[in-house]
Amino acid sequence: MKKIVGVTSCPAGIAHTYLAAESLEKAGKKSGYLVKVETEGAGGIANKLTEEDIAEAIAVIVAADTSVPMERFHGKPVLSISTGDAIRNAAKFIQLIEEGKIEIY
Amino acid sequence: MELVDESLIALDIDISSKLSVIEKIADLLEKSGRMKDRQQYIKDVLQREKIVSTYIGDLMVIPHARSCAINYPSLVYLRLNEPVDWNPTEKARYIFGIAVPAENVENIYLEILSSVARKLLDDTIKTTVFRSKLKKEILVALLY
Repeated sequence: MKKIVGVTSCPAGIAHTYLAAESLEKAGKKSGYLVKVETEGAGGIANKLTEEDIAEAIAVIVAADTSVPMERFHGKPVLSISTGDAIRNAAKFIQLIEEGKIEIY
Repeated sequence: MELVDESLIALDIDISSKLSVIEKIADLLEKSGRMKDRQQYIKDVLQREKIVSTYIGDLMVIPHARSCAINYPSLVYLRLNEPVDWNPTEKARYIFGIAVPAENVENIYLEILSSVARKLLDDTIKTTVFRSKLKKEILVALLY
């Protein structure tokens, strides 16, 4: 199964971070992808992406309204969006990945 | 103290503006002793809305703040009879007010809140929360 990884983060870190993660996981699963999303919320980082996760992934979705560490995604196709985008239009972004329309970071 | 109880749920009420919605959330938090500074809380929520709207689709909004005005992590649910204008392009009818103290929050509360947030994207739970007349049923849907 092809894998997509993501990171979500928002200013308060109590709601959008987790909504965005849920939305990406759901949309990815629907299209047949294995999705792992790291959440950077008020309670700290959960479900942290490992180097292996990132290496295996065909693409990275960063859904953040704050800055998150990006160096680790160097050389990967990375889609940067807001948490709101991820919550409302996750399916659209999964489709962009399927179509290979993502720029390399 | 639980994150949410029946006193923090108000169903099928009439409210006509975004500010009145936030004031109503403050009312419920105040009545149950979860808030120590009403003006500060309202200011913090509005400020958070300014950064990015908390609209999440399907007439749902989650106005929230980590605020020093709050005593206990709390969730308020308001269901309106008619949607209000939340911002120029979005309307809100189902309102989940999330209030978290600025400091010393145990992770367990944050975990519960994040799991509630995730549930709002589940169709079965949405149906219950949108339609049920029973506060108890809504509580169960949100928490378990």
